[in-house]
Amino acid sequence: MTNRIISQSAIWIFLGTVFIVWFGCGDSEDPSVDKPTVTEEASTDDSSVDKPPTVADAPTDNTNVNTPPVVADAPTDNVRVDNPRTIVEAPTDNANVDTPPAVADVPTNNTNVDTPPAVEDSPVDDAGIDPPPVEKDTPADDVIVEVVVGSLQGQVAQIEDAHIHVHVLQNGAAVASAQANLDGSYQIDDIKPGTYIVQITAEDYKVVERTVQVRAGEVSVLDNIVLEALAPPPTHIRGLVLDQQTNAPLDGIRVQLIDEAGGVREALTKQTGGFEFENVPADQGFVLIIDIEKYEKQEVTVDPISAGEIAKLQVVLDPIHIDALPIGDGLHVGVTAPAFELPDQDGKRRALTDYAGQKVVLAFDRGRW
Amino acid sequence: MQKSYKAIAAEGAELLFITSDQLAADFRTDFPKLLDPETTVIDAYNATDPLNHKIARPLYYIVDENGIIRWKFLDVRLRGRLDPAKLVEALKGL
Repeated sequence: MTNRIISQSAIWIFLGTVFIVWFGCGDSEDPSVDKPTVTEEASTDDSSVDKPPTVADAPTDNTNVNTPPVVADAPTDNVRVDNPRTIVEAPTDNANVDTPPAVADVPTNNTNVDTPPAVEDSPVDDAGIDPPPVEKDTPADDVIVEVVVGSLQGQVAQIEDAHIHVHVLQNGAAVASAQANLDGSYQIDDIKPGTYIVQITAEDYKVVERTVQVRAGEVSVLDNIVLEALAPPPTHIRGLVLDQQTNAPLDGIRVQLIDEAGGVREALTKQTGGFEFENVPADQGFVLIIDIEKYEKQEVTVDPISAGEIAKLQVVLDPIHIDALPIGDGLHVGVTAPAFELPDQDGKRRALTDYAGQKVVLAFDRGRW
Repeated sequence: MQKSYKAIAAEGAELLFITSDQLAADFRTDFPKLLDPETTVIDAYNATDPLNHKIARPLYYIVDENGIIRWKFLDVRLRGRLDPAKLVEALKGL
């Protein structure tokens, strides 16, 4: 048993010596070599890391150390890596840098037995030198990622009643398009470098255009875009007021337009009998009222009008036929009381206008007859 | 009508009695009696008695503050008179 242990120890010492010699005359002066190797070894215990297993096996077989074309520590060239997908994250946990299970039987007083990993973990001559952390994360091989496209992202002030579309135009043709998110943000990837017109559109809003430079591997930002609403197309009500008997246009007639909220607009007819209400609200109904003396009151329901449309009305007024009433049947209610002036019992002249602003009861009577 | 005059006045209205009969002016009343012997105003208000164009038939109007006729009464009987209570009621309703 003791011999076996000794022989095993001898083998390990031999291997360790070879290992030390190898590193002593090889890359040991380069601190960056050792650290990543340890890192690679650690990765063998972490199955979640996408690493070539060949590198991870390094401690048990030194031949692997000098062979890998994929030495994780190759920090020599500055590969510009903008694409996160090419970065290999290697765990830095060194706790698992232990000897193989067989080595566990080695007497504890022989610390050199553990040299293969120990040397890698902290080479004596490199102690205290921390390799740049970025080198740990460099890819295992010399991947040169050539970024040939850029991105555009931006923010448009939120609007609630329309979708926002973003078009990337070059020479008048759209090379990319996207619909902005509900909050007005958008991002368009994979745009070739160049100068573009970015066109932002939304229904019922003015088109906004901006010139944007897209560079490879960069994100061009186009923020603070505020869309301006287009003025709603005007909505009008126009009409003509005619006398029912003569068919003549009626001039100077007061026309009232009542909206759904009870708001009143007024217009007077022109010599042509025409009247108009400009820029009335769309999509709501109205009642048009003409209530003037000598004509029967007219109420016309105006159906809701679509934006940009003109409602055309013709209102025919029916004259109040004062003379049509039989003699003695009086006047129509609603007409203006005819003006008069008569003497009273004392000879004092009294006119109807004397009582303006006050109700007056007129009592016609036969007298003593 | 004389009895109802206070009630009419209480509604803020004035009562003008209009007739072509000169002698009617002799009746003692609190309200003014206007004389229209030529029936000019009687005709203008179409209150002419169809059977006697020289006199008015009983006919009643309420003219509002703006001079517009808002109410009128004529009895189905040509010479029937108005119950003054109805007039006061009409004034209250205007």
